[in-house]
Amino acid sequence: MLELEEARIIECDWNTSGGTLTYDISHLHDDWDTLTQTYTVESQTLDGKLVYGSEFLLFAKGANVPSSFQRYPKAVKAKLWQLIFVVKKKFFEDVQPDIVTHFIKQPHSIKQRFVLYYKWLALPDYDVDRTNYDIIYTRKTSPGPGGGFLLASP
Amino acid sequence: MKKFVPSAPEAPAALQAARRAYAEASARKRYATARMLTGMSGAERVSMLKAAKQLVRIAINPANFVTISLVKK
Repeated sequence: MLELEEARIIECDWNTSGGTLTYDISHLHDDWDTLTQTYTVESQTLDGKLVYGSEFLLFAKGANVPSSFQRYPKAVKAKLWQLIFVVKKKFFEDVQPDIVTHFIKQPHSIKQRFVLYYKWLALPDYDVDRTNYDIIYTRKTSPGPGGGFLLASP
Repeated sequence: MKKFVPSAPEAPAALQAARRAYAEASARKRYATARMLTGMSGAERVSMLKAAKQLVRIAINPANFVTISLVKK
C-alpha cells in the first residue's frame, strides 16, 4: 500500500465542514501535476449527521482545468488509483465522518468502481454499500443515518 | 537516492487557487446532478438504503421485524 508523503501535500484544509487536499503527483508521470480531493457537506440526516459528497480531479502540468488521464499506461494509472484511495483514507482518518457518498455519474460502471473501493478503501469502522448511483460509507459506531420507516397518522 | 523537490513552490498561487475553485464548483455540480437524477438528497438516498437493508433483513428472518413507530403530526 502506498503512503502519502507529507512533502507532496500542497494544501490540506479539510475539517468537519469539508475541504480540499491537493497532492503533487508529478513523480508518477512527467505530464501530471496535482490531484485534488474535495469533500463537501451535501446534506444532513434527520438526526443531524452530515452527509459528505466526494470529488477528485486530476490536473496536468500548467492546466487550470482537470484532465482525463485515461490514455496513460495501465501500470501508472494503477499507482494513481492507489494514491487516490490513500488520500480518501486520510479524510476518513482526519475527520471521521459519519456518512460519505461517492456519486458515480455512470451507473453502468458502479459495479467496477465498487470493487475498487472495496479493495482499496476497506475501512474496518465503516459499512460500505452501493446503490444504483452511489458508493456509501456509513460509520458503524453511528446509531444510524436516520430515516427508515416513519408512518404519520392522518 | 534522488532528492525529491516538490513542484508546489514553482506552481503559481493563482493556478492552485483556480484549480481549487474548479474542484469545489465541480463537487457542488456533481451532487446537484445527483439530486436531479435521483430526485433525492444524499441523506434521503442513505435513508432509502437503510430502509432497503432493513427490508432484506426482515425478508431473510421475519424475527428481525421489531416495530414501526406511528407518529401523529
